[in-house]
Amino acid sequence: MGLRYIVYLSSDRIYTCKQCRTHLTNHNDLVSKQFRGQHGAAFLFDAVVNVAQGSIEQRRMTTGEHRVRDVKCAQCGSYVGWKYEWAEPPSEQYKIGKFILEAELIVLVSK
Amino acid sequence: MPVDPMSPTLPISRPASTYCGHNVTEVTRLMIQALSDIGYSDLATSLEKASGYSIETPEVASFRKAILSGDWDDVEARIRMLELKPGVDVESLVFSVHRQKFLELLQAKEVQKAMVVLRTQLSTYQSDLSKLHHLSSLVMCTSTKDLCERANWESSRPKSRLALLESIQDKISPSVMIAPHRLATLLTQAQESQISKCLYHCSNQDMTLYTDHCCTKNNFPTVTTHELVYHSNEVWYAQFSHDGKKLASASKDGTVAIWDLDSFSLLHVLDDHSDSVTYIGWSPDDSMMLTCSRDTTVKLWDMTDYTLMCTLNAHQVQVSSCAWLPNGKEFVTSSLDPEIILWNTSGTKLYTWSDDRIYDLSITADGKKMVSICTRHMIHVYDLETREKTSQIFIGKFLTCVSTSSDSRYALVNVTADEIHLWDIEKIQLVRKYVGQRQGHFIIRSCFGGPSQNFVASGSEDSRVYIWNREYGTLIDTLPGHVGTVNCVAWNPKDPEMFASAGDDHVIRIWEPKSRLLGDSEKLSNGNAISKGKLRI
Repeated sequence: MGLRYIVYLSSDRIYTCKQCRTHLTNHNDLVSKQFRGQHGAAFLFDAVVNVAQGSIEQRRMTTGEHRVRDVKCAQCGSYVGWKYEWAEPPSEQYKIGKFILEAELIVLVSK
Repeated sequence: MPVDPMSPTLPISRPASTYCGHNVTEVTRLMIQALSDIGYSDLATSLEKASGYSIETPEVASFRKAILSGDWDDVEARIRMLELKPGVDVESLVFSVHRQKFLELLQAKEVQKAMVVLRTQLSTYQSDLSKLHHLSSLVMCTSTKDLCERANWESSRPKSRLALLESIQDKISPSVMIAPHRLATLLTQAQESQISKCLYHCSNQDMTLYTDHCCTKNNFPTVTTHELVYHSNEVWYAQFSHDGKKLASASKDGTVAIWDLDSFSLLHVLDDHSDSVTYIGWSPDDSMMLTCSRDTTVKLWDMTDYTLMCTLNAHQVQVSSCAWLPNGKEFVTSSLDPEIILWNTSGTKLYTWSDDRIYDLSITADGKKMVSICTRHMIHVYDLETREKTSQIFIGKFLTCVSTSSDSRYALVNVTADEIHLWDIEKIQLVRKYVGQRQGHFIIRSCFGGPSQNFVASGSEDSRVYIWNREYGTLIDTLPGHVGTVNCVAWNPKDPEMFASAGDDHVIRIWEPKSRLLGDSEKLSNGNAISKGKLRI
């Protein structure tokens, strides 16, 4: 692996890990708030930083078959959401490559 | 009229019109100067007679004598008769002579006489009034030391006069007066040029004027002579002690191992951090060590008995780097929190800079500057006396490490992806780029190395060690051996033929010339040196 420092984002509104406040993503990268996760409301983001990704899993969701990876905070290891690797319904394929962070597990920090 | 040494007064048989393309007049005059410098003054005189060339005219000789004896009126009279280099204003030379006279009088506390010189002689020089004002302000100096410092002038009379002579000599036409020790200067230049072209230069010992210098690859450290195995996780950083006798390695396993480089055995383990150790720093006299950890603390250790002196709990998040000031009494630590803190060895905070989240920093050998790299892809240069930031350079790419050269002039910075930049931190100029090593995700560290820091070495994510010629940027070698990323390379400051590399494979490899490996394996076959670490051939 080697030594890797966590990334610090420079933005007025940053979503951080609820456990350790490690920066995860910018408000600018927010795509949609209309998602549901295991802990309730969840947000879709274009990109996130400082996360470790798990292995690919096949998951049946309300919108159809998906392949996803669980995503954990790289600093403290807490589960924070998942990443879409593939979506079967053509209408859902816009999510591929994007990340879900669960609202309950993240904190918005504003300047 | 001064005699022109170019036209000999005693024309004697001339053996050749050129000396292999060089001007015979010039070569002969240099030989006369060299002979007289070495102490063969009789031979120098005979050569002067035989060739008809003289090292300098009698006028120049008297001028030299007049300066060194302080006969200022004579000097002033003679200086106007000398042949000067084109474009040199004789009045500026006269001014420097008067300045010397003025300073000598001040030094001798003869203020009245000094004031006369200032009013009657120096004041006629109107082209640079600020110089004149500065000189008149020196009358207020109370001590000789103060005077010398403010005037930037040698206190010893022979030395200051010699300096004056040399500064004037610089302006005099070389056909009249040759620069001092000119032949030696030329020989030094030739050797320096040979060294700069010597790709594997590791030693000045075999230098001779008889043949061109060239080091062979045999003396260049290209083989692993020892593998130091202790750590149970990735080794992230390694640093040699300043005396070159010990190596310390910092690991993800939370420990720092201290290795003895005579026996290549483990001397001690510093084990008090609750998380990975990211950086360490030997104090200038090697009596203390700082260890920086992800557990947000910095620990200061007494290295004579390996006891913990104090734990510094000042940073909010992981500590990224540290550096000692040359006085060995103060040091700085940096973090991503974002603070750089200046401490003394009792653990008292002296100052805090909170500009940027710092990945790495370095203090120059003269202790005057601090160079840091931050998460915003910038290099920052601070003046440590005023504690002000003097420069900031935007690179625009992820920077992973910074080190400074022994002459305090240059900074070496690793830039993702796959580049190392050499910056002149006085002129704020990019001097050179070294390319080849792989780095994309991790903190990869590089260093200067070799007898005159003539190499640049770096770790790489392709499990090799990369070494470049610093001057030309040529990639000299890539050395395989590690498994996984090579995080750090450190060059022994006292033994230019040894460096160490630290890797993700938990191992520190010691690299030396092949010749040393042969020596070791012979010892091994005799069964004498089995204890010498783990040897891999």
